[in-house]
Amino acid sequence: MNINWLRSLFPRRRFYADLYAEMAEHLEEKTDALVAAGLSRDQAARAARRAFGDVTRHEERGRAVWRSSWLEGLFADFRLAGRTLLRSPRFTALVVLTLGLGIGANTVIFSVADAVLLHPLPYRDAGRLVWLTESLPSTPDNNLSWLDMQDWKRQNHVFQDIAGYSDFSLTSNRAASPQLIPVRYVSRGYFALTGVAPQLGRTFQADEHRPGGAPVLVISHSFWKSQFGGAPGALGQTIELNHKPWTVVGIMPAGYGAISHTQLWAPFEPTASQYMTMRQFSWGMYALARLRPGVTLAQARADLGDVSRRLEQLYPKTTGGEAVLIPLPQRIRGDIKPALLLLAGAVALLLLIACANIAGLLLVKAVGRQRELALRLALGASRARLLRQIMAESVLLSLAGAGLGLGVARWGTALLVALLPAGTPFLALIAVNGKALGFALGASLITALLFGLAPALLGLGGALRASAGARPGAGGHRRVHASLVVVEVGLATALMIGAGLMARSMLSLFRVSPGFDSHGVLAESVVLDQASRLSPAQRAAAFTRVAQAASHVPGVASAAAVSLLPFSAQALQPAWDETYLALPERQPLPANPRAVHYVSASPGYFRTMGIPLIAGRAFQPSDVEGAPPVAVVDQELARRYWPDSSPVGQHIKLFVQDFNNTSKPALTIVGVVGTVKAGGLDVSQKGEVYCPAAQSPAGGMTIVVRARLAPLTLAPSVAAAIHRAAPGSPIYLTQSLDGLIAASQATRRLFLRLLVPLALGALLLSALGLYGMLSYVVSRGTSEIGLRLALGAQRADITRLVLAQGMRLALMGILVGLGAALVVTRLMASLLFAVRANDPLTCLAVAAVLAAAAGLACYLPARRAQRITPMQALRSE
Amino acid sequence: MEEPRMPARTSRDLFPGALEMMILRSLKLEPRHGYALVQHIQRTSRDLLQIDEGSLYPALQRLLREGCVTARWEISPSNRRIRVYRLTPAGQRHLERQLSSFEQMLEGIRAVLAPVKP
Repeated sequence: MNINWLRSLFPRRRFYADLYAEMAEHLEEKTDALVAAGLSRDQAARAARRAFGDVTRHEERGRAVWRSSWLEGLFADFRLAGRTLLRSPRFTALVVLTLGLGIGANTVIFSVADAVLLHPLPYRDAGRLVWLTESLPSTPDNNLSWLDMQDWKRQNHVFQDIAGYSDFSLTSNRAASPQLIPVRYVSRGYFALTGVAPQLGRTFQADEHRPGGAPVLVISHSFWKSQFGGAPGALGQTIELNHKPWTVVGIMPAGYGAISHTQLWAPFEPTASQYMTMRQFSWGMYALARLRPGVTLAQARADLGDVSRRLEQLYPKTTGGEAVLIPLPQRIRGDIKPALLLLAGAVALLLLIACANIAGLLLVKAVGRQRELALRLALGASRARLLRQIMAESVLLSLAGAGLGLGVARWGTALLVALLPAGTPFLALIAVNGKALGFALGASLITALLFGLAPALLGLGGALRASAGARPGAGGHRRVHASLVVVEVGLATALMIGAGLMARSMLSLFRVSPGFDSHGVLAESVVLDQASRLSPAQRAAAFTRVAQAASHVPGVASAAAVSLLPFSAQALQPAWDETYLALPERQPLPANPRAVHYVSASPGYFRTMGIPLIAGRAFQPSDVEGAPPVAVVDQELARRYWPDSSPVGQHIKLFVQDFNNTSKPALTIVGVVGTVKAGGLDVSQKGEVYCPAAQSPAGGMTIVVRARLAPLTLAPSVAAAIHRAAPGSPIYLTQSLDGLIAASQATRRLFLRLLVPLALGALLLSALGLYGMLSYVVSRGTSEIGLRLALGAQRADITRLVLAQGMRLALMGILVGLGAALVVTRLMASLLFAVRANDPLTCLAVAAVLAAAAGLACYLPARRAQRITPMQALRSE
Repeated sequence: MEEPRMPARTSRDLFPGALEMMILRSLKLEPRHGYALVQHIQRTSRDLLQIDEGSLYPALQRLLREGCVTARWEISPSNRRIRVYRLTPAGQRHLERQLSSFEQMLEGIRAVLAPVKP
């Protein structure tokens, strides 16, 4: 091993130059010597050359010394490949662009899927964790009571342990801007169940899990960083929350709690002790359990089902319903999975179309070079060498495509992150990652191998035949190319139908009226400081004060307070404190009461929101504590319970899962208002019962403000007014109602935003594929066309011929696509609204658009064919 | 560009390594440039060896690459630009090794070809 070897890799030119120079000198010197010996210059020169030997061969062998033959061959292949590709820039650009877009889109989806679906949960062996709750027909997932969970723990045979948790928030009492901090109350053994130890400090001890236990906290890594600067001295410090001092005893490692947005953990038992003696009440509790080794999901479900049924028989009146067991990973990722898979399918289709396009292009190129390949074979090139060179071109193309694809991926990922709903798990972790890089490179290399090799082999096979005199461009290539085009058009059809269905769903949704006038309304959600300490009268007074303060802000037309804001998170998802309606005059409490939305509203709420009054009256200032309890129902309830009469004057009773409540007084209905789609534009409504805030105030209300200007510009002044009227009460959400409604459809809108460009891209690519193929057919068939013209065919006939060929393929593709769409769109059914999965109008429209695009794609080559003259045709022979 | 194929061997070809050995031996006596080396080899072999003059150059390149010689452009007494080659210590050792194995080979062949003693 020698330095010269290393130098030999690169500055070869200098060695070549030196070699050339000294050989030239040698010849000159020999010539001079011979001249001195008496020969003429000419004779001397010739003699010198003869004595030297074959100059070129010696020089070449001298040069060869400086080549590391293996590496040199590779470099040469790639250099040649690069030059060849640059000689046909349109072809190269088309292939690289197609590949880049296909790979880029796929990488984006892969990155998102990797973070959201495949990313491991921060728990030990998360696949063995399950999520438990109880379910009643009216309330599918919110009824796990403490006593039921204890019985499950004692009587099951399939779990190592079960622990309960409940998510709430605590107010940090900072004067200027109090904040709500999410806290998860956990029962004994929770942290051990998840298998994660604290990074610093400890988790809870037995005596902290008891009524009267000390208020202790375990904090999250991000809370530690933001509130304590990451200092180890945070352990043992106290924080004031809900006007109580809480001591920090442990700090969890980074990432723990991120999924549920939890910042703090506190022991369950002391806080909720009053709920732990009543089997019929839950406190928003769910449970986690770890399966015993070797136990399957089916076995666990069966065992838990047995236990649950036994409990139901023992305690029929207070049962929470049937046990529900879902693997934790599925619970966390569940909602987004079907839509994401659909999207992944769509993008994979696009990649397929792109690959088909590229395959067609490469095929055409390979066939076109058959003469060149044949010549080189005849000149002594080895087949392996030629194959290597063709492969080098494919590899270069795919590397360039991968590079472009990564750029597209980076941009696309940022775009997708901006568009995804804020609550998506692991949103912060979505980034173009190493696995995506590997996937992109893998996809591109496989594409290169598949689509570079096949045409290359076909090309070489044809080259041998061509060298024997047969004509290149035999039928086999045409059939392959034609099938590729049919497949492309079919895939594009399927994609476009999918996008069309989504678009129609969105259009239908936009036309659905929410039941109130959402334009120009601002909402700010407030939790009263120490709400539980206030009497109902005090709470009522507080909210009246706050609503009045808000209404005096300049730019505000009217303001009101409400306990449940339509399209808010509580309204969109089933709550754990459901309210049930009973009609005491008609019948006793039914076995499975229907849940309704129980809304506490201040006077002026209906006016502020623009909810129409249908019958009777709205609330008045006289509806206060002590006055007869009244209620207003919406049309949904009126229709359901009083279809033939007016509900005004009727009596109803409301049951809340409130352990204080034994029997509330009956409420008199005084009015009927229009139905509000509080739970979402596309779901069936529960129905709303409104009570005056003065008679049934809540601890947290949302102030809604109808603004004369753009709602969000008033937000700071309204917030200031709220703080003045209720000091120490944190505002935790500020938004416009239009924004809320739009956000409720965020997932659908996102997928539409992604599907439409995909579908258009598919349309473009398949049209290009068709165009490319027909162009090639026309250019190859020039002689045939010329012959036909010479034999008397009209130009129009030629055009018709070419068009027919192209449109036949397009129509075949459309039919194939329609068939595929019928199957595929069934998978999207959950995302559609007001349109069937096999909607004929959409299919027809898509078929028409594709046929038009295909017609355009065929027209240009057809026109070129039309212009061929017989002389041209003969000359091309 | 195809790989150069090995030319068919003729009766005038030396066995591989022979030329390198002779070059090193000549350079041991004194540094020379390509033409001078050819002259020296032809003189000392009393013209028994017929080699293409040009074939020296690939051999010189090989030796240069392996570090057995160094090369430097100089001006000759007759005002020519010549590239002078010098033996390196590594080249010296290479030469000794080649010589000894060559002697060994020669001994062996001689022994096999020797006429059988009556």
